[in-house]
Amino acid sequence: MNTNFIARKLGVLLLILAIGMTAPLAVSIIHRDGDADAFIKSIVIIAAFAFATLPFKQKSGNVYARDGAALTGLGWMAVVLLGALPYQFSGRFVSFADCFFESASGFTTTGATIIENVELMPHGIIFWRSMTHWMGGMGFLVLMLALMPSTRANGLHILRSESSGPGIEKFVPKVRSLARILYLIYITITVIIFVLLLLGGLNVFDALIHAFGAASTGGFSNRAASVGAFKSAYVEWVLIAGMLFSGINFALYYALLHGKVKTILKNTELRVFLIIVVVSAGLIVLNIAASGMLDSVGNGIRSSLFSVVSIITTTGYATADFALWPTASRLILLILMLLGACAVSTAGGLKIIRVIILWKAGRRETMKLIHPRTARPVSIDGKTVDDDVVTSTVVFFTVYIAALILTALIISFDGQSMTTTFSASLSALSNIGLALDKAGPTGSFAIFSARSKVTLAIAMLVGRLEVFPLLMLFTKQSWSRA
Amino acid sequence: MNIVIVGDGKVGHTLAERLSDSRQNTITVVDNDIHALKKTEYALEVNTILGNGARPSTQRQARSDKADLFIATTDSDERNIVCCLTAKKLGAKRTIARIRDPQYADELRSMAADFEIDYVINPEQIVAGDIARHLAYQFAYNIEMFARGRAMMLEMKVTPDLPIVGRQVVDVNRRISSSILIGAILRGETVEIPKGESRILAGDHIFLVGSASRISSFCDAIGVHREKAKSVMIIGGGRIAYYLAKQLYEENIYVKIIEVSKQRADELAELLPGDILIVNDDGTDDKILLSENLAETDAFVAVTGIDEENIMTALFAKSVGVPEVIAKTNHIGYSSVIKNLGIDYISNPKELTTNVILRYIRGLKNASDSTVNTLYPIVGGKAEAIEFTAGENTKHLDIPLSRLQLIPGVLVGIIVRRGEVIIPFGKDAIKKGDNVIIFSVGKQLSNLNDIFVRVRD
Repeated sequence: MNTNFIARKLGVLLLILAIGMTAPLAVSIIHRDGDADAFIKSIVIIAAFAFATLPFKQKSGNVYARDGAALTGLGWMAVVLLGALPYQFSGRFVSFADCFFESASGFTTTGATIIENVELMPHGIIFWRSMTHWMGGMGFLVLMLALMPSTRANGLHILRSESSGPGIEKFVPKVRSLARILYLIYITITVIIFVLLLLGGLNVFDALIHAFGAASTGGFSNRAASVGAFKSAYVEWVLIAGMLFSGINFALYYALLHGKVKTILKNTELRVFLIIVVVSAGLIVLNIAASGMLDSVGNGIRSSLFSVVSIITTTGYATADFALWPTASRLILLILMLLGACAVSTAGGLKIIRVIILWKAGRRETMKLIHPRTARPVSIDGKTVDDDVVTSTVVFFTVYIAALILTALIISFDGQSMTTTFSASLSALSNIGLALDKAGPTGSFAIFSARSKVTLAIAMLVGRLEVFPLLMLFTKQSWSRA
Repeated sequence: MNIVIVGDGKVGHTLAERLSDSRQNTITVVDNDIHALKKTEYALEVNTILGNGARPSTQRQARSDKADLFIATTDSDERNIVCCLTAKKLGAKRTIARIRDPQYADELRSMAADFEIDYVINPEQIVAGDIARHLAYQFAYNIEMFARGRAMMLEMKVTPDLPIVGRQVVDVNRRISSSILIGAILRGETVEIPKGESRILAGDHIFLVGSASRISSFCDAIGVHREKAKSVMIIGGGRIAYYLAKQLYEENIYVKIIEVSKQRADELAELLPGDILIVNDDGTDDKILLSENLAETDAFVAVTGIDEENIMTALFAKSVGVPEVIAKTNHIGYSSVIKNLGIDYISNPKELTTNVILRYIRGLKNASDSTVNTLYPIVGGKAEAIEFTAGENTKHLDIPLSRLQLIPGVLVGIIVRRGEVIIPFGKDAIKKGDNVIIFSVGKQLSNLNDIFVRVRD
């Protein structure tokens, strides 16, 4: 591996982290909540790590896919560990395992929390939690690529290993422009949500926290009852739209800006995504109505749509306690947890595009049984999907499920119910943050043991980085020189 | 500039690489091979589109309609023509097509006009021309003509026996000739613009500019002689051999081509004049080469389709004492190794073709004021010799060069004024209508005005 390159870029990454941390520091100072020291200490330590990479001179050596993946894996581990420092120094968390969990949950945009009453937490810490969502949403390394001077095309390896889905299409020639466009779209969405929330009567702090949480599809709230606390249909609709738009492939916004409406209308992934949302919400409304829990049709539609969008975009905001819903409704939500939203969005999960590829690959296998020598490539939007991509999608799915089973197995020793164990594992892996039963909207992840919290935090990272960049770091070959 | 390149082969890739270095260019590469495209996508800052480049729908995806320049370099001439036609109909401003079949060679101009193709390149013809020019100046590594043939640049390897070894540049000018100029020195992989006190070392490549006659007399003075080859042996009867044999024949050089395929040998015998000897045998067999009097020939040219065979046979020819040995290689990656093998000249079609296209593009960029006439990249574009014509809009006309501060890494090489070659000194000035040849390192100039910083008092 190109050690110098990786070390140097890690330094830049940590510098961005340190600079980012000045924002919660400011919030903390303004609100005089007593955590300014914790932030200053953290910034100093992170900056020291960043400057420690300066002796590594960036040589002209080549950067390959493995270097991009290694940087992604190492970078995220470093960021999550060092991003936990303010929590630790503030003294408001019981153990470092808790801090690590909260930090991983933040950066991976999971939004699961071990804080039992979030309303007792000071502003600075709350702001930092939500800010980690925002920084992790589109990706740290993508931000770095957007800010750094163009370093040839090597950035594509980095961009691909951090962004979600089977591979972002390079819709502009220069990687730096690509990173900038992604961030511009991201910032625009965030600002729109923020302004709309302000118009809905939220104060600046609440609006900012929820704009961060929705745009990054993270889900941290500063209210114990999450979005339900505002008791405002308007706020809920704004967030439904905000989460939905953050879960759509960002490349489509670029197409929209260029007037290619046709591309968007014809986009299979978007269509399937919207169909799933509408059908799931409809089924849940009917299911709730049938079980006699529906108070009014309007409220029922809104709250089921909110839950569906919140889960499928892997955000994890809640307005209703769906842990109390009938079995079918809860199972639908559980399935949505696995699916996730579109590729190249801020959402987690498997991604709809992969589901489509899996579906089509399955159909092809069936066809092959009837006509063994049939030549039938998997194609999406009129474009053939390379067989390599099909294979890697199948492998990804398998490894994802394996990771889910392994996580659930470790968690199960805590002795929680099957539903809690399984849904919490899936929720962490898919970066949602809400689960069912005790880890549902009214509960928290505080019920788990320290061992389980660390396991879940690692599952979040595995899910966010889509398994392989992390797995690679644990192979002997990535560390040998030959 | 919006540039669309169809065909992600060697030439297409190199072009994309060199053109994407510039910030203003937006490049889209189209090909129907996903693996080639993937490689390009990761290596370069370009867009890639998978598909048949001749299809209007693919071209629309690649935004051919908005293209300032459309280049077709697929391996099929006909497809290249169709690509260019489609692009033009969609609205591309200019089109370039690679057309290499010798059958079209004589009608290229009229075909280009009929199909509205702005520029046609024939790589094999370019390579043949390059080799032929090299045979005319054997001691030279490369030769480039400037100012419509008035001035010449010659790249020469400094052998240890030359009297200029160890001398300072100013010393060479004072003692041997003041009417030529050493514009650049290539040492290993680095190029520098020499100053008066720079020393010339054995193993350097020096770039001389001046009029052809002055360069000849300079070469005579330092003891390198220009002996024209009288007989040339070519192995590999491909298109390059065809063009080369034709050209050498016109210069009254005795040509012998060894071609392994019976069919191709017959074809060549039909196409080429009867005085050219076509031997149907395996040119990579040392015994056959010897029996064809390899040792007696003045020059040996290996242009088969396989790099390794070209290099091996060239080395063999060198070992039996052929004075001038030339090999063609398609690989660009190993050039630093191949250069040191002792083969007199390596011709690289990919690099030559790319350079020709780049030169055309650079010339397009500023049609109005100071046009780039000729561009010669040194070691893959690290440095270049570039010819401008000073026009109305050129700044600082008629001001002595000694009063002008130029950007670093730039040297005004020679000025060609009404056919006369001037080696400029401090008192000389650039006048309107002059052809100015500039050497620059590390910068891509596209306008003569780019070289000036300010006027000193």
